[in-house]
Amino acid sequence: MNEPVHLVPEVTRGALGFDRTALFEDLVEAELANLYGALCLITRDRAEAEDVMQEAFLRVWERWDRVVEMDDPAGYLFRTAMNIWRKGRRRTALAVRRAMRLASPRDELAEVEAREVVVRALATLTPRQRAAIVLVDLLDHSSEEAAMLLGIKPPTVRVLVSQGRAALKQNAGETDE
Amino acid sequence: MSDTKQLLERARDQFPPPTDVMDALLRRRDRKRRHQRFSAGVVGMAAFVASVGIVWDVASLDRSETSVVPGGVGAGSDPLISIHSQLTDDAPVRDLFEVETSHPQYWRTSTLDEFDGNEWRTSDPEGSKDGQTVTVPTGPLPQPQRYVPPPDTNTEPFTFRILTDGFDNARALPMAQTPEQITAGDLGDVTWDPYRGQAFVDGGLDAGMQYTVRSRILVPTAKQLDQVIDLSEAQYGQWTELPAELNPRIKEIANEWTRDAVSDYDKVLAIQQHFHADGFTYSTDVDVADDADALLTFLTQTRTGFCQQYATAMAVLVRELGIPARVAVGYQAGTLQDDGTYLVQSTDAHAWVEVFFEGYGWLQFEPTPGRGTHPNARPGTYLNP
Repeated sequence: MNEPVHLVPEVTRGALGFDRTALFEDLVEAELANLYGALCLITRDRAEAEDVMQEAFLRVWERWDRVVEMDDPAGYLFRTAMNIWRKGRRRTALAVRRAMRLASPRDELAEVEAREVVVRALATLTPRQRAAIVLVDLLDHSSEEAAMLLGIKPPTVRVLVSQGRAALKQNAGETDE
Repeated sequence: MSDTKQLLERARDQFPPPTDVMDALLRRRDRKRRHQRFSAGVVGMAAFVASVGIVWDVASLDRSETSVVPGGVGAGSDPLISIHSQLTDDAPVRDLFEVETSHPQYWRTSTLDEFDGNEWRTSDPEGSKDGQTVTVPTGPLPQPQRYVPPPDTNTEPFTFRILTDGFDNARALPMAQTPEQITAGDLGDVTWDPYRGQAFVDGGLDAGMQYTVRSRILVPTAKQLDQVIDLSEAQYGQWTELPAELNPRIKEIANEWTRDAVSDYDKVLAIQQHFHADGFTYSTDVDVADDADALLTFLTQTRTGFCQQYATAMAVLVRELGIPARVAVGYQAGTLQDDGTYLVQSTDAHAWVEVFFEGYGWLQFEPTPGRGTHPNARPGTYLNP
């Protein structure tokens, strides 16, 4: 990986006896690929995934004094990210619909989809189904945890996940032996 | 499950993360700070939005316990109060949903089946009493036992696309007349209450949700309804109940207005027509009085109001005659767009009356003057005999 770029001047680091900034950078390094990848699968849009990911990391950083004391800072990061995604969806959905009433707004992944059948299969799911299956099957959340992250009830998560699994099996099954 | 995990991991690995995240975060933080320093007004707005968001979240938590909140069931999300706030002139107009259909209808979200002498409310606001879980993608919507649709009639599809999250703060799906089947990609389980004709989706309505409901739209003629035999109060007791302490003058008014009517249908029609004449006018600029005589004052003195007053008054008068009635809350058909769909906005919020006729189910009536005619009110139909 690259040499980490520090967020605060070297001289103030470690003032509290342990290096909080370094801990934040550890969190970024540990969760970056997981968070960004999950957001790409859910949003099907690299720019949106990057925007949500950055905003989530930034909010965690702004509250780092409190977050660093939590049992599960990564959990807080993912909750923040899912919140930003859900709220952002509300703002953008209508603007997108108005701008392109008929065209699908998510064609930018064509290149990846052309070579990756699983990504193509995910395209057949709705955002809620994608979010549920990514949280439960990829990120190993229980349906209760995923329900909290998505603001819905656990049975709904289970329905969405089973719909998602069925669609993935059906659409990605043929190349997956 | 591990199958799916492997598939998803493979898909995720197609998206390697950007490498300069720390730099990007620093730039983003600086941008945010500059923005905060130079546009205090915008920040004020952002803070306001944030606090509304929090309030909304708290409200959504409270909603599951509305029965213990003082002030009664669903006090915070009263469908009728919500109509008034959507119809007043200074409220921002919001696009709520679109409907794909060639037969525009009234789109019902909730029904109010209980009148306490002062206000109508639904006795089962969340479907927790009579609701049945319907598992979509495709589920039949079970019907009450007494609903037997006429032979040679069909259901027709209405496809709804939600454009705004959580409008009305409600979880209720807009639907047309008598829904018999729902098809939806991602609603999860739907709770369907066949008695009140309400369907709820877990987590509320989100922009982007889409579902198709097949509804039976029955528009009988006056002659057909005249032949429906008297409805027995014993069978429909719940739908004819009124509080005992209601001013007896109201029953007298119901009898006066329907003096010349013979069949039950005739009586219901006479009440509807009475509101279209006799000096009743439409206005949203009314005090929503909540004293016990508000209804009588409306019927005999002010004669001014909007759908809320008209629908609630008509439903009381119909029940006074022993005929099963309820208040329906939802939206008028909306505006036809270039692509052939109907756009429904907050200003389409509406309330009307539904009356039960054996063999036809709940039929809609429109007592409110000045809000256009019901889309099914073609000449010769029961709405326009």
